[in-house]
Amino acid sequence: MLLCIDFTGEIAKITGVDNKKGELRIVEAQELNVSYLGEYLRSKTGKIKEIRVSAPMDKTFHKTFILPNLKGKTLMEAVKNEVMKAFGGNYQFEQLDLGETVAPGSKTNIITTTAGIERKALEEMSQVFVGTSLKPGLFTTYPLALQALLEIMGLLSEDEAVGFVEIAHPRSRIVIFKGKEIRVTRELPLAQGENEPEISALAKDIYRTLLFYAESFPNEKVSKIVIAGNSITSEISENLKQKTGVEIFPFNAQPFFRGTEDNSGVYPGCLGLALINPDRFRFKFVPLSVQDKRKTRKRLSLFSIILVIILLVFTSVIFRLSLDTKYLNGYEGGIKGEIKMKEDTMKGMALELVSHSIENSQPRWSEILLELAAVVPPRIALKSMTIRKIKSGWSGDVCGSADGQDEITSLVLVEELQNNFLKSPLFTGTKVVEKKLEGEKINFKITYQLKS
Amino acid sequence: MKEKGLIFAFVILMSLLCVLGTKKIKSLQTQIKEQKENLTKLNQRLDYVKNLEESLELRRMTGKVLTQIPRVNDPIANKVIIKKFILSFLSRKGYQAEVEVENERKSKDFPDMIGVNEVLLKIGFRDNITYNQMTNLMETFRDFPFTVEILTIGGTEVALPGIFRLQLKYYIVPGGA
Repeated sequence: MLLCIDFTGEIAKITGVDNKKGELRIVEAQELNVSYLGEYLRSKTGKIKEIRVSAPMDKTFHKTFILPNLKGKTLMEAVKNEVMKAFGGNYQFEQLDLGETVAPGSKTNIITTTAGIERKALEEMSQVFVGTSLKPGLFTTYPLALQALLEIMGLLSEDEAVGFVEIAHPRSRIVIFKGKEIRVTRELPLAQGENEPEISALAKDIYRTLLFYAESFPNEKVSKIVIAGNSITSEISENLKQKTGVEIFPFNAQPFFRGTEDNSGVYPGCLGLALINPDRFRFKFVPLSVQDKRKTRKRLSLFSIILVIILLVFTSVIFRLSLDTKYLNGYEGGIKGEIKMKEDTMKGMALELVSHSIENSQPRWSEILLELAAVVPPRIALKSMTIRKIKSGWSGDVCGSADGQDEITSLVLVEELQNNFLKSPLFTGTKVVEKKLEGEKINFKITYQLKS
Repeated sequence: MKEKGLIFAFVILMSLLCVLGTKKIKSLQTQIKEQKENLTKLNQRLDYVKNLEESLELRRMTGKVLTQIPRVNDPIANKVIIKKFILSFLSRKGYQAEVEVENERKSKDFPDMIGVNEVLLKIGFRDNITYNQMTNLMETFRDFPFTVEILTIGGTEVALPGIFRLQLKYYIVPGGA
């Protein structure tokens, strides 16, 4: 069921509409105090598919502006400024460009129609639905809903102004349309009951409204008035016709809605809401709190998507790396197994292994000793010579004295010995670590390593 | 407020996810790097083992094996046998020497699974020795499972009397003698 709610002050007019294969049927129609609306909605949970709402008319505005031919954001700003000037900053509004008009000097102006709802009223309407699982899908104004209704009924005309009067308690409402423009909206107070003097007063009010229209739009007049309400009789229509001098048509929704045969519980505003095509409708208002919630929801969705993407990226990278690790582990295990197999084979060749190790770890002693003898020049006497095994190979040292008959020659001899070590293909890392003058002799100590 | 809390929770969750994910990825990358390094070493080891195996096979086929000193089940007796063997061997070569034999221990120069033990030997030659004699002697040691640890002429590193001193390792190969 599509639930249409028309707020008029403390009263909410409710109409439930079912759409079966394109045929609209009114299944529920009642007036409720707004304070009972929440309870009503909770009782209908599960039956209601969609809710559409129109705001109280005294909290709305409708105005058409003629503006210079501006584009995009500049036009938006101009419209905003005009609305601010006309109604202040307490309204949320929407605009629709109706076309162009020729201005003096062959310039073109833009006709823009606007409709707005007081922010506070919009929030208050939205608050009615807090605590229920139902949220309105569309907020708009009563005249815009009526416009949709009359447009479908074929009652609107680009050439003539049409008035629509809804007689109701405690307030009646009149809206004057011309084409797509909503030109005048007014609430008309109606006293208790529908006795003669009050009807007469209402007719006067309607007449005054028509006069106001004629003053506001010279050379134009309202050609017909469509009148709706539960207690409309032919006498009332006649009375109004006499007072206003305009052709009066009683509102009849039967061709468009089933279930309106007795004309009771027919709320034109609600019917208009039901006929709005939300995809094409321009004047959809969203309360700021709802906009905030939507933004938050969007942000949350965005965050969720980012989170999922991050999760996917990390998962895929970790999965890939884990696979690599697994593969490397397997490969490592294979090599270890092969090494183990070879080592097991070598267990039976321990003697050969030791023999091999000795052969590879021991230097060719004959070569070393001969080379050592060769690098020592005459007049140098070695006192000691040592070669020892260290972790990285073999290191050694020679101690001796150089007797060059004078200090300088002795020094040269030690240097010659060091040079011989340096030039030798068997030794490396040669260093003179000790040099001591003893008379004309020089005692020295040289360390070296065997080349591997 | 609730939405802000949720967004805050999302941000925290995302940050946490990023931190933990990055940490895990870094840890895996480090692990892979280590595994690759390890693999390189293992490959080198495998190459070495393969070459060694080939070399040992060749050695076995050519019959070039080392002579081992006879052994008994008593470790003290073994020490005595080794000492006597070396003294007798040197004596036959014409050298007077002093020999010191240390206790048998597990050798760290070979993999444990092969079960090679070693005995540290110190030899101090009483006689003067020529280069030729020295080189001949050193070459002769190659027929036995001896490795030279220290060789000194006139030095003090091997604590035994004598000009020419040696510190050797004698490897005891299981099933070799």
